[in-house]
Amino acid sequence: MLTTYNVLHDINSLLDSFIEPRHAVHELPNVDFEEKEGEINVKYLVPEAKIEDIDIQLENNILKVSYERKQDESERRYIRKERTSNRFSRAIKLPYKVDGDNAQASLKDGVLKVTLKKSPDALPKKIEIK
Amino acid sequence: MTNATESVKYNYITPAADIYEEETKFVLKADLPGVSKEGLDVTVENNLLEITGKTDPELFIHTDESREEGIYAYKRSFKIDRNIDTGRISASLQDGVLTLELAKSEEVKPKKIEISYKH
Repeated sequence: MLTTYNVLHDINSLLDSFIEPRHAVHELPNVDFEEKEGEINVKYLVPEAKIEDIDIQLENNILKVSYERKQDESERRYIRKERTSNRFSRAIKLPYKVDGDNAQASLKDGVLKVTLKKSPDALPKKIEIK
Repeated sequence: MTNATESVKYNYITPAADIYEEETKFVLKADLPGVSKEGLDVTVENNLLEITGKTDPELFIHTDESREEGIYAYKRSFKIDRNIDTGRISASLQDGVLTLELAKSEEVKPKKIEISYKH
């Protein structure tokens, strides 16, 4: 709509000014993978996500997480739009077989954390000599 | 973990933000995943709006040598002008998203002008 655009254009100059440049040095990883002593922790940044927006699947040693941030339905008069409508599907091949029955996931403050433990099958076995 | 405040090192990140306008206010939304209420600080001083959000140290601190150690924190500042009533800014934090509602000052609000009839 032409009229809306004109309004935005005016307001843009009123509210906009940046004080500091972007701190571009440290980017927070969108997916953070950590393995330690038979335990795997994977963290995903999913701001605004609700539990029902997230789908986690474990198949063999592939961890697949899909997420879709629901788009805002209302037509907002944006002055600045940087946040992206988030949607991703990411599969990670795990370094070893994990115990699917004891997999855990939690969602807090826009961070999804998946904790997986090494499967007993993947642990070293001592083989007796008969 | 953080016994001496001076020793804490922060790795600052600029959070993505949206700003949109409604009839009586501006709404600012910023993505701050990993920040809880305790780690959030929003200040307005001399028409400078500053957002600082410290993430939970347990969440993102990296102890392996390949990465720099430090706590991730978000920081961003906006200059606000007379169109915003700095006394009426409200903040809420949910699911890692900060929502700031900045009320427009009376002078820029759409006004209805009453028409009086002279007898």
